[in-house]
Amino acid sequence: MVIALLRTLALLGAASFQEPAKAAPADEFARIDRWIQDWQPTAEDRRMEEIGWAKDIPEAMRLAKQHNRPVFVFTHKGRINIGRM
Amino acid sequence: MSMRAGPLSDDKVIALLNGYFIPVYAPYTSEETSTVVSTEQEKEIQRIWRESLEKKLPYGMVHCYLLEPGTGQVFDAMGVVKASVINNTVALLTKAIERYKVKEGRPVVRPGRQVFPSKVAPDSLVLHLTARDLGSLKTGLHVAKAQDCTVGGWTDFASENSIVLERADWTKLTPPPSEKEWTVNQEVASKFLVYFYPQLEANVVSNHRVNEAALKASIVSSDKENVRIRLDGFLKMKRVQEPDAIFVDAPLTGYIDYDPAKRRIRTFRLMTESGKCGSRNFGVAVRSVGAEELSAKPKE
Repeated sequence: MVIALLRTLALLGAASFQEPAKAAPADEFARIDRWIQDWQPTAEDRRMEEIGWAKDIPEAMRLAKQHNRPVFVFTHKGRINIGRM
Repeated sequence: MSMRAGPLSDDKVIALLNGYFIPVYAPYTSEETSTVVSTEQEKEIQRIWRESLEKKLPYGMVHCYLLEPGTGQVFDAMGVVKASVINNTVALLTKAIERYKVKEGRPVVRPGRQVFPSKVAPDSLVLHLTARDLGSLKTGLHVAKAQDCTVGGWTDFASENSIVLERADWTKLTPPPSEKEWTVNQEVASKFLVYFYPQLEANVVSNHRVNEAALKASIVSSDKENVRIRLDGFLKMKRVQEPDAIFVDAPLTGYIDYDPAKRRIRTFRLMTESGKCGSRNFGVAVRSVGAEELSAKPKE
């Protein structure tokens, strides 16, 4: 009888190991929130946004004249600001 | 090493650009940028390229150029391969500062977010999407590479998209009358699902095709103040140039909080933790953006 009981317990244990209980909906929504929060661009990802970019070349030239500064232009393919290049 | 992960993320280059220059990035017109490049901007890019060629300066489409303060004429240039080495960009900028005896000052334009559109209709739903590469699934012998060869590429930082859903679109995400479960409108779902892919060089999302019924919605709780809608699905995306090949496979999960009294979406969340694009793994997070974040003043 003891052996039968142990066998049953072992089977139950194995079943619970194979099929972990599904997270309750509230936990699942909290997990989604956490994951999305953790996934956001970091300060390191966004260093380019520490630069004061002019809107476009015509505006950059206007500001350059006004402030007596050279213009730095980076011409490129794709969209560097959103990391889709 | 890319410009963004290299010089444009470097303390010294950032300080030089902010303190002595008017910096501007200028995507040239291509399939990927046709909606964001103005005619004036494209005209100036063409003028800069032509002038560089005439002045026998280094010339290229992916290139750094320096323009004179008074006239806007090109006086120096450097190709992206050379400029991606931080010291070369520092040397280029320092030479220009000395040439024009530029006095250091504060940034002329205040630095700020470069992702969100400057104007959005007040009743729009703005979604922010972050995609990250999680590496290759390739098996086989691992070949160790020098650290400076494997960092600083454009897959090293997250890519982002802002997706603006106008009222006519986002209302199609809300519960249809007397329905508990439904399939999210294909046209609206496609507006954000086409951006579920990792950092790639090909970014023509108009070529992306989302599978039918990729996203299902079901109400999990409901009261006078809030209806919580669970989102689940599986994205199988193809591209028009390879109609038989799967471009992206991605399980989807998320939720919407809908305020039935005010008839507005409070919160939108959608993610994939284990997307696959060929041999690459990637993750995507989408969240709704509040008016406060959109109107946030750029930092000093």
